[in-house]
Amino acid sequence: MKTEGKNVIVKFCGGCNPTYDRLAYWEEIKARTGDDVTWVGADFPRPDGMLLICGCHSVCPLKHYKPADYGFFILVDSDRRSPEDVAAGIIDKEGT
Amino acid sequence: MIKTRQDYIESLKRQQLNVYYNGKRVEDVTVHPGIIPHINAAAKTYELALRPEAEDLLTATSHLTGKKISRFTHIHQSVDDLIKKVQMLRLISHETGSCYQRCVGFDALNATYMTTYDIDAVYGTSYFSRFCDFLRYIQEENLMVVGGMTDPKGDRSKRPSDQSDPDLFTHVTEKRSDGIVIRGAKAHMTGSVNSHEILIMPTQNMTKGDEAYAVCAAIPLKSPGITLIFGRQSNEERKFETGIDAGNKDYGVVGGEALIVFEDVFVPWERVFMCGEIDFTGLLVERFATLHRQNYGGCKGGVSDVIVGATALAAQYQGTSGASHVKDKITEMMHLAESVYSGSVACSAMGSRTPSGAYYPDPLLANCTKHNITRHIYEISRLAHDVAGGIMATMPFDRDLRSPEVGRYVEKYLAGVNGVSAETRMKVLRLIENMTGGTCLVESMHGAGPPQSQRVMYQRLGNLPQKIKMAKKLAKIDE
Repeated sequence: MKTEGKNVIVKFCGGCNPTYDRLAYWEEIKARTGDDVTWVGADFPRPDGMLLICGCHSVCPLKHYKPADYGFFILVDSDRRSPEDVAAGIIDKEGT
Repeated sequence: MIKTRQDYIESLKRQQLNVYYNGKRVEDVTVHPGIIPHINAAAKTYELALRPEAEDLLTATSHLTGKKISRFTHIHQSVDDLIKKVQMLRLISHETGSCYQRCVGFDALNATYMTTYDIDAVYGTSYFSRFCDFLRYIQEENLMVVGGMTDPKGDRSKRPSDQSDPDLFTHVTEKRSDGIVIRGAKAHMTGSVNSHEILIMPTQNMTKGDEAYAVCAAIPLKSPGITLIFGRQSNEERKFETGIDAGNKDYGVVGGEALIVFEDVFVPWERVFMCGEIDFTGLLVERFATLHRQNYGGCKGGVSDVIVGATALAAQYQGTSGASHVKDKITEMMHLAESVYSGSVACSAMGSRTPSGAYYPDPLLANCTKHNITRHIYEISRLAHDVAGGIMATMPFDRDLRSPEVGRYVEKYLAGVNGVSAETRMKVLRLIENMTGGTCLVESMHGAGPPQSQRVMYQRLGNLPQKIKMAKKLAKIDE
Protein backbone atom coordinates (compact mmCIF):
# COMPACT_ATOMS: atom_id res chain seq x y z
CA MET A 1 0.00 0.00 0.00
CA LYS A 2 1.40 3.37 -0.96
CA THR A 3 1.45 6.04 1.75
CA GLU A 4 2.45 9.58 0.85
CA GLY A 5 4.33 12.21 2.83
CA LYS A 6 6.28 9.93 5.10
CA ASN A 7 8.95 11.33 7.41
CA VAL A 8 12.04 9.22 6.94
CA ILE A 9 15.36 9.63 8.71
CA VAL A 10 18.43 9.46 6.50
CA LYS A 11 21.67 8.71 8.25
CA PHE A 12 25.11 8.12 6.78
CA CYS A 13 28.12 6.31 8.19
CA GLY A 14 31.25 8.45 8.49
CA GLY A 15 32.63 7.36 5.12
CA CYS A 16 36.23 6.44 6.02
CA ASN A 17 36.72 4.31 2.90
CA PRO A 18 33.40 3.84 1.08
CA THR A 19 33.14 1.33 -1.74
CA TYR A 20 30.73 3.50 -3.72
CA ASP A 21 29.58 7.13 -3.90
CA ARG A 22 27.11 7.32 -1.04
CA LEU A 23 26.02 10.87 -1.80
CA ALA A 24 25.30 10.16 -5.47
CA TYR A 25 23.40 7.05 -4.41
CA TRP A 26 21.37 9.08 -1.94
CA GLU A 27 20.67 11.82 -4.47
CA GLU A 28 19.25 9.19 -6.78
CA ILE A 29 16.96 7.86 -4.06
CA LYS A 30 15.88 11.39 -3.19
CA ALA A 31 15.04 12.15 -6.80
CA ARG A 32 12.99 8.94 -7.09
CA THR A 33 10.99 9.44 -3.90
CA GLY A 34 10.24 13.09 -4.69
CA ASP A 35 7.38 14.51 -2.59
CA ASP A 36 6.39 11.11 -1.27
CA VAL A 37 9.03 11.36 1.42
CA THR A 38 10.19 14.16 3.71
CA TRP A 39 13.79 13.45 4.70
CA VAL A 40 14.56 14.30 8.30
CA GLY A 41 17.51 14.18 10.70
CA ALA A 42 18.27 11.40 13.18
CA ASP A 43 16.75 13.34 16.09
CA PHE A 44 13.32 13.66 14.44
CA PRO A 45 10.58 12.50 16.85
CA ARG A 46 8.43 9.56 15.73
CA PRO A 47 9.66 9.13 12.16
CA ASP A 48 7.96 6.66 9.83
CA GLY A 49 11.18 4.92 9.02
CA MET A 50 14.92 5.10 8.69
CA LEU A 51 17.37 4.75 5.84
CA LEU A 52 20.95 4.04 6.94
CA ILE A 53 23.49 4.45 4.14
CA CYS A 54 26.87 2.86 4.90
CA GLY A 55 29.96 2.82 2.72
CA CYS A 56 30.89 -0.81 3.35
CA HIS A 57 29.82 -4.04 5.00
CA SER A 58 31.21 -2.97 8.38
CA VAL A 59 28.06 -0.83 8.81
CA CYS A 60 29.67 0.95 11.79
CA PRO A 61 26.67 3.07 12.89
CA LEU A 62 24.32 0.09 13.04
CA LYS A 63 25.24 -0.63 16.65
CA HIS A 64 23.77 2.73 17.66
CA TYR A 65 20.30 2.05 16.22
CA LYS A 66 17.61 -0.54 16.91
CA PRO A 67 15.71 -1.37 13.72
CA ALA A 68 12.69 -2.27 15.83
CA ASP A 69 12.43 1.37 16.97
CA TYR A 70 11.35 2.45 13.49
CA GLY A 71 8.28 1.70 11.38
CA PHE A 72 10.68 0.41 8.79
CA PHE A 73 14.46 0.28 8.68
CA ILE A 74 16.45 0.03 5.48
CA LEU A 75 20.18 -0.60 5.57
CA VAL A 76 22.30 0.01 2.49
CA ASP A 77 25.92 -1.20 2.63
CA SER A 78 26.79 -1.35 -1.07
CA ASP A 79 25.41 -0.28 -4.42
CA ARG A 80 24.45 -3.81 -5.41
CA ARG A 81 20.82 -2.93 -4.83
CA SER A 82 19.83 -0.09 -7.16
CA PRO A 83 18.75 3.27 -5.72
CA GLU A 84 15.53 2.93 -7.73
CA ASP A 85 14.76 -0.29 -5.95
CA VAL A 86 15.46 1.22 -2.53
CA ALA A 87 13.32 4.26 -3.36
CA ALA A 88 10.44 2.05 -4.48
CA GLY A 89 10.78 0.05 -1.29
CA ILE A 90 10.53 3.16 0.86
CA ILE A 91 7.48 4.47 -0.97
CA ASP A 92 5.71 1.13 -0.67
CA LYS A 93 6.38 0.71 3.04
CA GLU A 94 3.44 1.14 5.37
CA GLY A 95 3.51 4.60 6.95
CA THR A 96 2.14 5.61 10.31
CA MET B 1 32.31 29.59 18.53
CA ILE B 2 33.88 28.43 15.27
CA LYS B 3 31.45 26.41 13.17
CA THR B 4 32.18 27.01 9.53
CA ARG B 5 35.26 27.28 7.37
CA GLN B 6 34.66 31.02 7.16
CA ASP B 7 34.39 31.33 10.97
CA TYR B 8 37.73 29.58 11.23
CA ILE B 9 39.43 31.85 8.70
CA GLU B 10 37.98 34.97 10.33
CA SER B 11 39.29 33.79 13.71
CA LEU B 12 42.79 33.49 12.24
CA LYS B 13 42.55 36.93 10.70
CA ARG B 14 41.58 38.46 14.05
CA GLN B 15 44.32 36.98 16.19
CA GLN B 16 47.28 38.35 14.19
CA LEU B 17 50.02 36.02 15.35
CA ASN B 18 53.66 37.04 15.15
CA VAL B 19 54.53 34.89 12.12
CA TYR B 20 57.64 35.04 9.92
CA TYR B 21 57.86 33.47 6.46
CA ASN B 22 61.11 33.55 4.51
CA GLY B 23 62.50 36.42 6.55
CA LYS B 24 59.43 38.63 6.48
CA ARG B 25 56.68 39.29 9.01
CA VAL B 26 53.31 38.01 7.80
CA GLU B 27 50.64 40.60 8.43
CA ASP B 28 47.71 38.31 7.64
CA VAL B 29 48.22 34.55 7.35
CA THR B 30 44.84 34.11 5.67
CA VAL B 31 45.99 35.84 2.48
CA HIS B 32 49.57 34.55 2.36
CA PRO B 33 49.98 32.11 -0.59
CA GLY B 34 52.47 29.97 1.32
CA ILE B 35 50.06 29.51 4.22
CA ILE B 36 46.64 29.40 2.53
CA PRO B 37 47.04 25.71 1.52
CA HIS B 38 47.59 24.75 5.17
CA ILE B 39 44.61 26.81 6.27
CA ASN B 40 42.52 25.08 3.58
CA ALA B 41 43.51 21.67 4.91
CA ALA B 42 42.68 22.52 8.52
CA ALA B 43 39.46 24.23 7.40
CA LYS B 44 38.39 20.92 5.90
CA THR B 45 38.00 19.55 9.44
CA TYR B 46 35.41 22.25 10.12
CA GLU B 47 33.66 21.81 6.76
CA LEU B 48 33.30 18.04 7.02
CA ALA B 49 31.86 18.22 10.52
CA LEU B 50 28.86 20.00 9.02
CA ARG B 51 28.29 17.45 6.26
CA PRO B 52 25.78 14.67 7.01
CA GLU B 53 27.84 12.09 5.16
CA ALA B 54 30.88 12.74 7.38
CA GLU B 55 29.54 13.97 10.72
CA ASP B 56 29.41 10.47 12.17
CA LEU B 57 33.20 10.51 12.26
CA LEU B 58 33.95 14.23 12.49
CA THR B 59 31.79 14.89 15.53
CA ALA B 60 31.36 13.34 18.97
CA THR B 61 29.40 13.95 22.16
CA SER B 62 31.35 15.71 24.89
CA HIS B 63 31.54 13.70 28.10
CA LEU B 64 31.87 17.03 29.95
CA THR B 65 28.86 18.88 28.57
CA GLY B 66 26.81 16.35 26.61
CA LYS B 67 26.99 18.66 23.60
CA LYS B 68 27.90 17.76 20.04
CA ILE B 69 31.53 18.77 19.47
CA SER B 70 34.31 18.37 16.94
CA ARG B 71 35.95 15.00 17.41
CA PHE B 72 39.28 16.84 17.37
CA THR B 73 38.42 18.25 20.81
CA HIS B 74 37.00 15.00 22.21
CA ILE B 75 38.41 12.75 24.93
CA HIS B 76 38.14 9.11 23.84
CA GLN B 77 35.42 7.43 25.88
CA SER B 78 35.55 3.96 24.33
CA VAL B 79 37.36 1.67 21.92
CA ASP B 80 34.79 2.78 19.37
CA ASP B 81 36.03 6.35 19.76
CA LEU B 82 39.60 5.21 19.16
CA ILE B 83 38.58 3.43 15.97
CA LYS B 84 36.49 6.36 14.78
CA LYS B 85 39.51 8.61 15.18
CA VAL B 86 41.48 6.48 12.72
CA GLN B 87 38.54 6.23 10.30
CA MET B 88 38.12 9.99 10.44
CA LEU B 89 41.78 10.57 9.57
CA ARG B 90 41.57 8.32 6.53
CA LEU B 91 38.44 10.11 5.36
CA ILE B 92 39.95 13.61 5.66
CA SER B 93 43.12 12.53 3.87
CA HIS B 94 41.00 11.53 0.90
CA GLU B 95 39.74 15.12 0.76
CA THR B 96 43.06 16.93 1.21
CA GLY B 97 45.78 14.52 0.07
CA SER B 98 47.81 16.19 2.77
CA CYS B 99 48.14 16.72 6.52
CA TYR B 100 45.29 18.69 8.14
CA GLN B 101 47.19 19.27 11.36
CA ARG B 102 44.53 18.98 14.06
CA CYS B 103 45.44 15.49 15.27
CA VAL B 104 48.50 16.72 17.16
CA GLY B 105 46.50 18.96 19.46
CA PHE B 106 43.84 16.25 19.74
CA ASP B 107 46.47 13.83 21.02
CA ALA B 108 47.96 16.41 23.38
CA LEU B 109 44.51 17.01 24.89
CA ASN B 110 43.97 13.30 25.48
CA ALA B 111 47.45 12.64 26.85
CA THR B 112 47.25 15.60 29.23
CA TYR B 113 43.76 14.64 30.37
CA MET B 114 44.91 11.14 31.37
CA THR B 115 48.13 12.27 32.98
CA THR B 116 46.86 15.21 35.01
CA TYR B 117 44.39 12.79 36.59
CA ASP B 118 47.26 10.53 37.58
CA ILE B 119 49.42 13.37 38.90
CA ASP B 120 46.59 14.60 41.13
CA ALA B 121 46.08 11.08 42.50
CA VAL B 122 49.69 11.03 43.73
CA TYR B 123 50.33 14.64 44.69
CA GLY B 124 46.86 15.96 45.56
CA THR B 125 47.29 18.76 43.03
CA SER B 126 44.37 20.25 41.08
CA TYR B 127 45.75 19.94 37.56
CA PHE B 128 42.93 17.71 36.34
CA SER B 129 40.10 20.11 37.20
CA ARG B 130 42.11 23.00 35.73
CA PHE B 131 42.62 20.99 32.59
CA CYS B 132 38.91 20.10 32.35
CA ASP B 133 38.10 23.83 32.48
CA PHE B 134 40.52 24.44 29.64
CA LEU B 135 39.14 21.48 27.68
CA ARG B 136 35.57 22.74 28.11
CA TYR B 137 36.68 26.10 26.66
CA ILE B 138 38.35 24.41 23.68
CA GLN B 139 35.28 22.26 23.02
CA GLU B 140 32.84 25.17 23.36
CA GLU B 141 34.83 27.45 21.06
CA ASN B 142 35.98 24.62 18.73
CA LEU B 143 39.54 25.94 18.72
CA MET B 144 42.56 24.45 17.00
CA VAL B 145 45.31 23.42 19.40
CA VAL B 146 48.97 22.74 18.65
CA GLY B 147 50.47 19.75 20.40
CA GLY B 148 53.79 21.19 21.53
CA MET B 149 56.21 18.47 22.51
CA THR B 150 59.52 18.62 20.60
CA ASP B 151 62.19 20.92 22.00
CA PRO B 152 65.28 21.85 19.91
CA LYS B 153 67.45 19.82 22.38
CA GLY B 154 70.86 21.24 21.40
CA ASP B 155 73.56 18.77 22.41
CA ARG B 156 71.66 15.46 22.54
CA SER B 157 74.32 13.88 24.76
CA LYS B 158 73.48 16.25 27.62
CA ARG B 159 70.52 16.55 29.98
CA PRO B 160 68.38 19.70 29.72
CA SER B 161 69.95 21.29 32.79
CA ASP B 162 73.46 20.54 31.45
CA GLN B 163 73.03 22.41 28.15
CA SER B 164 75.28 25.44 27.64
CA ASP B 165 72.16 27.39 26.62
CA PRO B 166 69.28 26.55 28.99
CA ASP B 167 66.69 27.70 26.46
CA LEU B 168 67.36 24.73 24.17
CA PHE B 169 64.75 22.97 26.26
CA THR B 170 61.57 24.87 27.13
CA HIS B 171 61.62 25.68 30.82
CA VAL B 172 60.15 27.70 33.66
CA THR B 173 62.25 30.74 34.49
CA GLU B 174 60.07 32.22 37.20
CA LYS B 175 57.21 31.17 39.46
CA ARG B 176 54.93 33.98 40.58
CA SER B 177 51.85 34.05 42.78
CA ASP B 178 49.66 34.36 39.68
CA GLY B 179 51.51 32.07 37.26
CA ILE B 180 54.78 31.05 35.64
CA VAL B 181 57.13 32.52 33.05
CA ILE B 182 58.60 30.27 30.36
CA ARG B 183 61.45 30.51 27.87
CA GLY B 184 62.63 28.22 25.10
CA ALA B 185 61.25 26.90 21.84
CA LYS B 186 59.23 24.11 20.28
CA ALA B 187 60.33 22.78 16.90
CA HIS B 188 58.38 21.30 13.94
CA MET B 189 55.08 22.61 15.29
CA THR B 190 52.48 21.39 12.81
CA GLY B 191 49.69 23.79 11.90
CA SER B 192 50.86 26.35 14.41
CA VAL B 193 50.61 29.48 12.25
CA ASN B 194 46.93 28.71 11.73
CA SER B 195 46.07 27.49 15.23
CA HIS B 196 44.72 29.30 18.29
CA GLU B 197 46.42 27.68 21.26
CA ILE B 198 49.47 25.58 22.03
CA LEU B 199 49.53 22.89 24.69
CA ILE B 200 53.19 22.48 25.61
CA MET B 201 54.46 19.26 27.16
CA PRO B 202 57.93 18.09 28.22
CA THR B 203 59.95 16.75 25.32
CA GLN B 204 61.38 13.72 27.15
CA ASN B 205 61.60 11.96 30.48
CA MET B 206 63.08 14.39 33.01
CA THR B 207 65.23 13.43 35.98
CA LYS B 208 66.41 15.12 39.16
CA GLY B 209 67.80 18.54 38.42
CA ASP B 210 65.48 19.01 35.42
CA GLU B 211 62.41 20.14 37.40
CA ALA B 212 62.21 23.47 35.58
CA TYR B 213 61.81 21.55 32.32
CA ALA B 214 58.91 19.45 33.58
CA VAL B 215 56.20 21.83 32.42
CA CYS B 216 52.85 21.31 30.72
CA ALA B 217 50.70 24.36 30.01
CA ALA B 218 48.22 25.86 27.57
CA ILE B 219 49.11 29.17 25.97
CA PRO B 220 47.22 31.30 23.42
CA LEU B 221 49.51 31.69 20.42
CA LYS B 222 48.80 35.41 20.33
CA SER B 223 50.43 35.85 23.77
CA PRO B 224 53.19 38.48 24.03
CA GLY B 225 56.65 36.95 23.61
CA ILE B 226 55.68 34.26 21.09
CA THR B 227 57.26 34.22 17.61
CA LEU B 228 56.50 31.64 14.92
CA ILE B 229 59.03 31.03 12.12
CA PHE B 230 57.53 29.01 9.28
CA GLY B 231 59.49 26.04 7.94
CA ARG B 232 60.50 25.76 4.32
CA GLN B 233 59.05 22.82 2.40
CA SER B 234 60.01 21.22 -0.89
CA ASN B 235 58.52 23.03 -3.90
CA GLU B 236 56.55 25.40 -1.70
CA GLU B 237 57.14 28.32 -4.08
CA ARG B 238 54.95 26.55 -6.62
CA LYS B 239 52.00 27.44 -4.39
CA PHE B 240 52.65 31.08 -5.31
CA GLU B 241 51.94 30.32 -8.97
CA THR B 242 48.78 29.74 -10.89
CA GLY B 243 48.66 26.67 -13.13
CA ILE B 244 49.25 22.99 -12.53
CA ASP B 245 52.84 22.74 -11.32
CA ALA B 246 51.95 22.69 -7.61
CA GLY B 247 50.26 19.33 -8.12
CA ASN B 248 47.87 19.73 -5.20
CA LYS B 249 47.59 23.48 -5.18
CA ASP B 250 44.72 23.87 -2.73
CA TYR B 251 46.42 21.96 0.08
CA GLY B 252 49.84 21.80 1.71
CA VAL B 253 52.72 19.47 0.94
CA VAL B 254 52.69 18.44 4.60
CA GLY B 255 51.24 20.12 7.67
CA GLY B 256 52.96 23.51 7.63
CA GLU B 257 55.45 23.39 10.47
CA ALA B 258 57.00 26.27 12.39
CA LEU B 259 59.64 26.90 15.02
CA ILE B 260 57.87 28.57 17.95
CA VAL B 261 59.98 30.74 20.23
CA PHE B 262 58.86 31.61 23.76
CA GLU B 263 60.57 34.74 25.05
CA ASP B 264 59.53 35.14 28.71
CA VAL B 265 55.92 34.18 28.12
CA PHE B 266 53.62 34.47 31.13
CA VAL B 267 51.16 31.62 31.81
CA PRO B 268 48.54 31.97 34.59
CA TRP B 269 48.29 29.06 37.04
CA GLU B 270 44.85 28.03 35.78
CA ARG B 271 46.56 27.05 32.50
CA VAL B 272 49.45 25.12 34.07
CA PHE B 273 48.97 21.35 34.19
CA MET B 274 52.39 20.16 35.32
CA CYS B 275 55.14 22.12 36.99
CA GLY B 276 58.12 20.20 38.32
CA GLU B 277 56.60 16.69 38.65
CA ILE B 278 59.52 14.98 36.88
CA ASP B 279 58.23 11.50 37.69
CA PHE B 280 55.24 12.02 35.37
CA THR B 281 57.12 13.45 32.40
CA GLY B 282 57.95 10.05 30.93
CA LEU B 283 54.34 8.94 31.19
CA LEU B 284 53.03 12.08 29.50
CA VAL B 285 55.56 11.76 26.68
CA GLU B 286 54.77 8.06 26.18
CA ARG B 287 51.04 8.67 26.11
CA PHE B 288 51.25 11.54 23.66
CA ALA B 289 53.61 9.53 21.45
CA THR B 290 51.34 6.48 21.50
CA LEU B 291 48.22 8.50 20.72
CA HIS B 292 50.03 10.25 17.89
CA ARG B 293 51.60 7.08 16.48
CA GLN B 294 48.15 5.51 16.47
CA ASN B 295 47.12 8.01 13.78
CA TYR B 296 49.57 7.34 11.03
CA GLY B 297 47.91 4.36 9.39
CA GLY B 298 44.76 6.49 9.20
CA CYS B 299 46.14 9.70 7.73
CA LYS B 300 48.97 8.19 5.70
CA GLY B 301 46.75 5.30 4.71
CA GLY B 302 44.28 7.83 3.32
CA VAL B 303 46.99 9.83 1.58
CA SER B 304 48.31 6.56 0.13
CA ASP B 305 44.85 5.77 -1.28
CA VAL B 306 45.12 8.98 -3.32
CA ILE B 307 48.67 8.12 -4.43
CA VAL B 308 47.53 4.66 -5.54
CA GLY B 309 44.67 6.22 -7.51
CA ALA B 310 46.94 8.80 -9.10
CA THR B 311 49.49 6.15 -10.05
CA ALA B 312 46.85 3.95 -11.64
CA LEU B 313 45.59 6.98 -13.55
CA ALA B 314 49.08 7.87 -14.77
CA ALA B 315 49.48 4.29 -16.02
CA GLN B 316 46.15 4.50 -17.84
CA TYR B 317 47.10 7.83 -19.44
CA GLN B 318 50.37 6.49 -20.78
CA GLY B 319 49.06 3.10 -21.87
CA THR B 320 50.90 0.93 -19.35
CA SER B 321 48.00 -0.07 -17.12
CA GLY B 322 47.64 -3.47 -18.83
CA ALA B 323 51.25 -4.49 -18.22
CA SER B 324 51.42 -7.25 -15.62
CA HIS B 325 54.29 -5.68 -13.70
CA VAL B 326 52.36 -2.39 -13.42
CA LYS B 327 49.27 -4.19 -12.13
CA ASP B 328 51.48 -6.01 -9.66
CA LYS B 329 53.07 -2.79 -8.42
CA ILE B 330 49.73 -1.11 -7.93
CA THR B 331 48.50 -4.19 -6.09
CA GLU B 332 51.56 -4.00 -3.85
CA MET B 333 50.87 -0.32 -3.15
CA MET B 334 47.33 -1.17 -2.07
CA HIS B 335 48.62 -3.97 0.13
CA LEU B 336 51.00 -1.57 1.88
CA ALA B 337 48.32 1.10 2.32
CA GLU B 338 45.85 -1.35 3.84
CA SER B 339 48.62 -2.79 6.02
CA VAL B 340 49.37 0.54 7.64
CA TYR B 341 45.67 1.19 8.10
CA SER B 342 45.29 -2.23 9.74
CA GLY B 343 47.90 -1.28 12.30
CA SER B 344 46.01 1.83 13.32
CA VAL B 345 42.73 -0.05 13.61
CA ALA B 346 44.41 -2.85 15.56
CA CYS B 347 46.03 -0.63 18.18
CA SER B 348 42.68 1.12 18.58
CA ALA B 349 40.70 -2.11 18.87
CA MET B 350 43.10 -3.31 21.57
CA GLY B 351 42.84 -0.01 23.46
CA SER B 352 41.98 0.15 27.13
CA ARG B 353 40.55 2.42 29.79
CA THR B 354 42.93 4.57 31.84
CA PRO B 355 42.18 5.55 35.46
CA SER B 356 40.87 8.91 34.20
CA GLY B 357 38.19 7.12 32.18
CA ALA B 358 39.76 8.12 28.88
CA TYR B 359 40.65 5.33 26.45
CA TYR B 360 44.17 4.71 25.24
CA PRO B 361 45.45 2.67 22.26
CA ASP B 362 47.66 -0.35 22.75
CA PRO B 363 51.12 1.27 22.92
CA LEU B 364 53.12 -1.59 21.41
CA LEU B 365 50.82 -1.88 18.40
CA ALA B 366 50.65 1.91 17.98
CA ASN B 367 54.44 2.10 17.87
CA CYS B 368 54.55 -0.77 15.40
CA THR B 369 52.06 1.13 13.22
CA LYS B 370 54.20 4.24 13.08
CA HIS B 371 57.33 2.18 12.54
CA ASN B 372 55.74 0.68 9.41
CA ILE B 373 55.00 4.21 8.18
CA THR B 374 58.72 5.01 8.22
CA ARG B 375 59.16 2.19 5.68
CA HIS B 376 55.93 1.62 3.77
CA ILE B 377 55.31 5.22 2.72
CA TYR B 378 58.76 5.28 1.16
CA GLU B 379 58.00 2.02 -0.64
CA ILE B 380 54.60 3.25 -1.82
CA SER B 381 56.29 6.40 -3.12
CA ARG B 382 59.05 4.38 -4.76
CA LEU B 383 56.51 2.25 -6.59
CA ALA B 384 54.58 5.37 -7.64
CA HIS B 385 57.80 6.82 -9.11
CA ASP B 386 58.54 3.52 -10.84
CA VAL B 387 55.13 3.35 -12.53
CA ALA B 388 54.81 7.07 -13.28
CA GLY B 389 58.13 7.19 -15.09
CA GLY B 390 61.01 9.63 -15.28
CA ILE B 391 58.86 12.20 -17.03
CA MET B 392 57.44 13.06 -13.60
CA ALA B 393 60.80 14.59 -12.71
CA THR B 394 61.70 16.14 -16.07
CA MET B 395 58.45 17.66 -17.33
CA PRO B 396 58.50 21.24 -18.60
CA PHE B 397 56.83 24.03 -16.67
CA ASP B 398 53.12 24.80 -16.84
CA ARG B 399 54.12 28.06 -18.56
CA ASP B 400 55.85 26.09 -21.29
CA LEU B 401 52.61 24.24 -21.91
CA ARG B 402 50.85 27.59 -22.28
CA SER B 403 53.64 29.31 -24.23
CA PRO B 404 52.75 30.55 -27.73
CA GLU B 405 56.26 29.55 -28.85
CA VAL B 406 56.78 26.06 -27.37
CA GLY B 407 53.34 25.06 -26.08
CA ARG B 408 52.57 23.06 -29.20
CA TYR B 409 55.70 20.94 -28.65
CA VAL B 410 54.75 20.20 -25.07
CA GLU B 411 51.23 19.26 -26.21
CA LYS B 412 52.63 17.01 -28.93
CA TYR B 413 55.41 15.24 -27.06
CA LEU B 414 53.79 14.80 -23.67
CA ALA B 415 50.59 13.34 -25.07
CA GLY B 416 49.63 9.90 -23.84
CA VAL B 417 46.97 7.53 -25.13
CA ASN B 418 44.38 8.82 -27.56
CA GLY B 419 41.90 11.18 -25.97
CA VAL B 420 44.17 12.22 -23.08
CA SER B 421 45.74 15.65 -23.41
CA ALA B 422 49.25 16.51 -22.32
CA GLU B 423 47.76 18.81 -19.69
CA THR B 424 45.67 16.03 -18.15
CA ARG B 425 48.65 13.73 -18.04
CA MET B 426 50.86 16.44 -16.54
CA LYS B 427 48.27 17.18 -13.86
CA VAL B 428 48.31 13.67 -12.47
CA LEU B 429 52.09 13.40 -12.71
CA ARG B 430 52.45 16.65 -10.79
CA LEU B 431 50.08 15.34 -8.15
CA ILE B 432 52.23 12.24 -7.69
CA GLU B 433 55.38 14.37 -7.58
CA ASN B 434 53.80 16.62 -4.94
CA MET B 435 52.69 13.77 -2.71
CA THR B 436 55.71 11.46 -2.86
CA GLY B 437 58.83 13.56 -2.61
CA GLY B 438 60.94 15.71 -0.35
CA THR B 439 59.23 16.94 2.77
CA CYS B 440 56.42 14.34 2.52
CA LEU B 441 58.86 11.49 3.00
CA VAL B 442 60.79 13.11 5.83
CA GLU B 443 57.47 13.74 7.57
CA SER B 444 56.70 10.00 7.36
CA MET B 445 60.09 9.23 8.87
CA HIS B 446 60.16 11.74 11.72
CA GLY B 447 56.58 12.83 12.41
CA ALA B 448 55.54 11.38 15.81
CA GLY B 449 59.15 10.35 16.33
CA PRO B 450 61.86 8.60 14.30
CA PRO B 451 62.05 4.79 13.97
CA GLN B 452 64.54 4.45 16.81
CA SER B 453 61.98 5.85 19.25
CA GLN B 454 59.62 3.04 18.20
CA ARG B 455 62.35 0.40 18.49
CA VAL B 456 62.93 1.46 22.07
CA MET B 457 59.30 0.63 22.75
CA TYR B 458 59.69 -2.92 21.40
CA GLN B 459 62.51 -3.42 23.84
CA ARG B 460 60.36 -2.14 26.68
CA LEU B 461 57.00 -3.67 25.80
CA GLY B 462 57.83 -6.61 23.54
CA ASN B 463 58.16 -9.08 26.43
CA LEU B 464 61.20 -10.92 25.12
CA PRO B 465 61.61 -13.16 28.23
CA GLN B 466 58.14 -14.60 27.64
CA LYS B 467 58.99 -15.31 24.01
CA ILE B 468 62.17 -17.11 25.07
CA LYS B 469 60.14 -19.13 27.55
CA MET B 470 57.73 -20.21 24.79
CA ALA B 471 60.62 -21.32 22.60
CA LYS B 472 62.24 -23.28 25.45
CA LYS B 473 58.99 -25.06 26.20
CA LEU B 474 58.52 -26.25 22.62
CA ALA B 475 62.18 -27.22 22.27
CA LYS B 476 61.97 -29.05 25.60
CA ILE B 477 64.87 -27.11 27.09
CA ASP B 478 64.84 -27.23 30.87
CA GLU B 479 67.98 -25.22 31.68
